[in-house]
Amino acid sequence: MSAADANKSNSDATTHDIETSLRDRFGDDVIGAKAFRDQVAVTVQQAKPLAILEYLRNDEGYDTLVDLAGVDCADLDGCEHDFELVYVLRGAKSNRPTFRLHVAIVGRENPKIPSATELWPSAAWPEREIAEMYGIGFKQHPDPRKLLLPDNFETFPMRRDYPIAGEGERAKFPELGVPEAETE
Amino acid sequence: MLKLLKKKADPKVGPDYLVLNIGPQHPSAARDLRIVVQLDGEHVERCVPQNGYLHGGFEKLAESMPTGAFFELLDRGGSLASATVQLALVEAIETLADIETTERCAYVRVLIAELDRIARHLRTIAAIAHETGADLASRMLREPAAQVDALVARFFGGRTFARIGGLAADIPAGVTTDCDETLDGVERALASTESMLSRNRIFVHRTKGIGTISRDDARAHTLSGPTLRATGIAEDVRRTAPYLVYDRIDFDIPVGTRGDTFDRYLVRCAEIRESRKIIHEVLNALPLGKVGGDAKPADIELPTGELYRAIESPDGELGVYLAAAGGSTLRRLRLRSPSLAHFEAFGAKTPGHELGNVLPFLASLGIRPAEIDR
Repeated sequence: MSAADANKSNSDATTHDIETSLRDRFGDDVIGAKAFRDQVAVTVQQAKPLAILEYLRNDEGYDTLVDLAGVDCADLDGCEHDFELVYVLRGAKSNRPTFRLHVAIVGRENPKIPSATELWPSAAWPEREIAEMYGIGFKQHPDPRKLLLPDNFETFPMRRDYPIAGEGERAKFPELGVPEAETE
Repeated sequence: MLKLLKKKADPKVGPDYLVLNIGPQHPSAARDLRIVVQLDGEHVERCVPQNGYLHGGFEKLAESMPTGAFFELLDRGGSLASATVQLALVEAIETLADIETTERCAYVRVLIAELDRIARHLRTIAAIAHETGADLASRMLREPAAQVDALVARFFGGRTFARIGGLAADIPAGVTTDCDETLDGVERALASTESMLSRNRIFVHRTKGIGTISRDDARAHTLSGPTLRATGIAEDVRRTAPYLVYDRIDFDIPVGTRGDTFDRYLVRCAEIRESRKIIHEVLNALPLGKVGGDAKPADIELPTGELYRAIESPDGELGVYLAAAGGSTLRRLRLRSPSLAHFEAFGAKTPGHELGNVLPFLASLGIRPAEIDR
């Protein structure tokens, strides 16, 4: 059996509707849409992601943020933005199949985007990870600490230009010794 | 570490409060998890989950080498190379590259996935029992869990069973007898454990009404798997977006009512029995033929495209987001582990509990640190 057939979770009608309704409502913010193996993704500009996400949640029935991933598009041919944030959405109550909203982010120097935590608390940790791994800041994030990396890690290792061979960050870390006794 | 606590803890931390560090090697947390709690007497006022101790750049590695080679590397991935992660990755990569697998392969993968679910649930229940002081019950469950693992190891000679497009080996003849024997042992141990725990006053006292998660909270934190089902929501990826041959298999989805530690224990017990039913169906319907997996890893050519694909791991929805732009190397691989959402929800739901009940709560979520840290 074909693996692609096995996970068919979609009807073309719904996916077409989403793209159309996003275009009707948000016009030029929608950059494009693509369908691959029956899964549809719409790419939008970074201007007002929260309004679009809120619309998808409240009016289109995508009540669940399944996952949030960062992607570095810098060295991708024909791609005009630097990063993409991939919001994997699903309508659990409305029975909507998996749909992805890609938010295109332009600029590699400290880009910022509003946090989606007020819509979905579950966005908090994936956003912390994207911030430390890609250097994308999230405005109004309730807990902007690093998630996986040490606090003194200053570069963004998941960026495409971060080398996977070399000395790494080790040399920059302070040497560990015997800690001084804590006194009251 | 104390510096971290001083920085993070509430300003009202004073002589009346105790800040306690648990981990990063607490047994109930499998290993390498750490929580920092601020205590007022026995009660937790604040809980900060800390992780990252196992971060190994798994996703970065996936972007830096051919997909086939990366998949081979998984065998060295330690606890990240669990059967569920292998299955999620292989399913996603096959869907992306449109690689066909045989019927027999799909059935055997279901068999392995369900054996893995049984072993995992046994260990989670054992951890809950251990944390409530029921050590005998805990030890009784670890033995059959090890036997289930040994059964899978006997099939494939090691930890990795999946290959892109097939399996590492076909399962041997006589598998039905082996499975029956092992699963009878599981049932015996589970029945004794239930008789020891389900109406045990101490166990019930320390699990019922503890770590209660409402349906709305479960949705808001995107919880999944037994943790979600314990709140009464009958949601399972095997049903909502069936993969492999789950759409041809008849099984029930056990649910709880209160969403507490006790319900998560009950749901896992019931799921072990459902998995056993599934295994019987699979063995009865197992078609003859090849299992595939002979292609050299280097032969995999990826198309241009992106997708998110999920499986129902023992602990919840394990998803993989893949992006490729031709060639043989992925542009992006992201593992969406249920443990990440569960650990975050744990931090939010812990305040107000007595410290002693926090660890059974943590154990009942079945968190895998390796999947959070990647």
